[in-house]
Amino acid sequence: MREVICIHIGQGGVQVGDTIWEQFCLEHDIQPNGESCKDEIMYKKAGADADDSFTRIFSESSNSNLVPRALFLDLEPTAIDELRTGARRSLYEPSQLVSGKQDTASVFAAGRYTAGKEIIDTAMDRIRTLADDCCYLQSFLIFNTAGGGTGSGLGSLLLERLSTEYGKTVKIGFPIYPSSKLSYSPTEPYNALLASHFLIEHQESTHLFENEALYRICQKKLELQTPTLTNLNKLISNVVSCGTSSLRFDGYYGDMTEYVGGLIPYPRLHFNISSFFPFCPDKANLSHSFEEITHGAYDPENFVVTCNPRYGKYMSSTIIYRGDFALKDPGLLSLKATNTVKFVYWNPTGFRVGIERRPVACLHGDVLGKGGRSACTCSNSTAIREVFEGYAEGFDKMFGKRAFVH
Amino acid sequence: MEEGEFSDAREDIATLIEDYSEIEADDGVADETKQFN
Repeated sequence: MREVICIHIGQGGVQVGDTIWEQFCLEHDIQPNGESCKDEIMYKKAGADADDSFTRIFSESSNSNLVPRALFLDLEPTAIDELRTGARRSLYEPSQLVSGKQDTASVFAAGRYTAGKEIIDTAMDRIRTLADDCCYLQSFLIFNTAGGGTGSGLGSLLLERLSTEYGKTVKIGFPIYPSSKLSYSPTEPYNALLASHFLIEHQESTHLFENEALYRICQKKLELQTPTLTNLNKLISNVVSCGTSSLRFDGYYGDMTEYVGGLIPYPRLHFNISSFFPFCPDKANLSHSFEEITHGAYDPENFVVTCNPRYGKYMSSTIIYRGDFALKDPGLLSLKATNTVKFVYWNPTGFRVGIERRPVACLHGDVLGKGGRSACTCSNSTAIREVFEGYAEGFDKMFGKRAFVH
Repeated sequence: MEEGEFSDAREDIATLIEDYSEIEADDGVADETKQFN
């Protein structure tokens, strides 16, 4: 079995993590308390063809309950306390929830040096325990915010330690970047840039989310004028669910190294743009054709990052369909014919297609349409440059004045 | 934190942006589309 361990760091990473595990439980038929919805929890013993793919992301506890292969880590207790008392309080084991008693006040240095130093050894111990429980650990999925002090600072410290101890295990990141125009704290441009520096070095594949793009999708596509964090987290969770299908179910890629090798031609240039289609309100009628879904998934309006890949070049792209699809792809051919997706000359056929028949699960109180057909894409495009240029500009404005440089 | 850590990170990002620009321009597309920072 090729196991995956999820690490959720900082307030944003922890909150989005809880939503993602709600979705994973639904998709793998596991109740919020960790009991399998299937009658026989050990049904995997019943036959070779029984679906035991859930064991990639869940381990079995001594009382036969299923426990996420996950670690939640934060320097202050609020977000993790919510998990300790929330709907999935009996899903997580106490050792998976690690919180400190300090706040970083959105300062990278606090997360990386002062407060972070005190918690990192405990965190690494817990990760070792999770890793020892795996037969063949294939990858770490890392969720954090690039703008927060803990997400960026402690996130980068942890990445360094993972690189040292688990150099051969593929590290896949899902960082949530702050808006380059609108920010929660003045130190965000620093944090985002410093965090990116470590992501370049220590992750093999990074899938960006950007707050601004998520807000835009909520407002334009989901008709939510004042989106809440819960709305944003559910949106992220849908994209992550679709994007990680091949990791969690019987996959189309033999191995993560192979997957990353196909998507990432140059190791440093591993920042991927994701999209999802359809983002539409619950009441909308979902009956999209294969072709509509393919085109929708490559429409810049449905990207979770603010940039337009039509102005850049694709080095590679993967589209994963969820739901009732047959593997014939007229949609892809027409996409190339219309020149919507332009590839670099040295990789003109950099397309990969995956299909998972199980639809993306609908979360409780979700405004997104119910479990119909959907697709997500993950593209390595030069258009991501725009995003980094935005953060570099924000950084320069502050660094020029040496603001917050202590 | 040392000031050098900030400028190292900034330089790293500048190189990243340059690498993306080079790949984008690398098949005979007119020079004016290049944007080096």
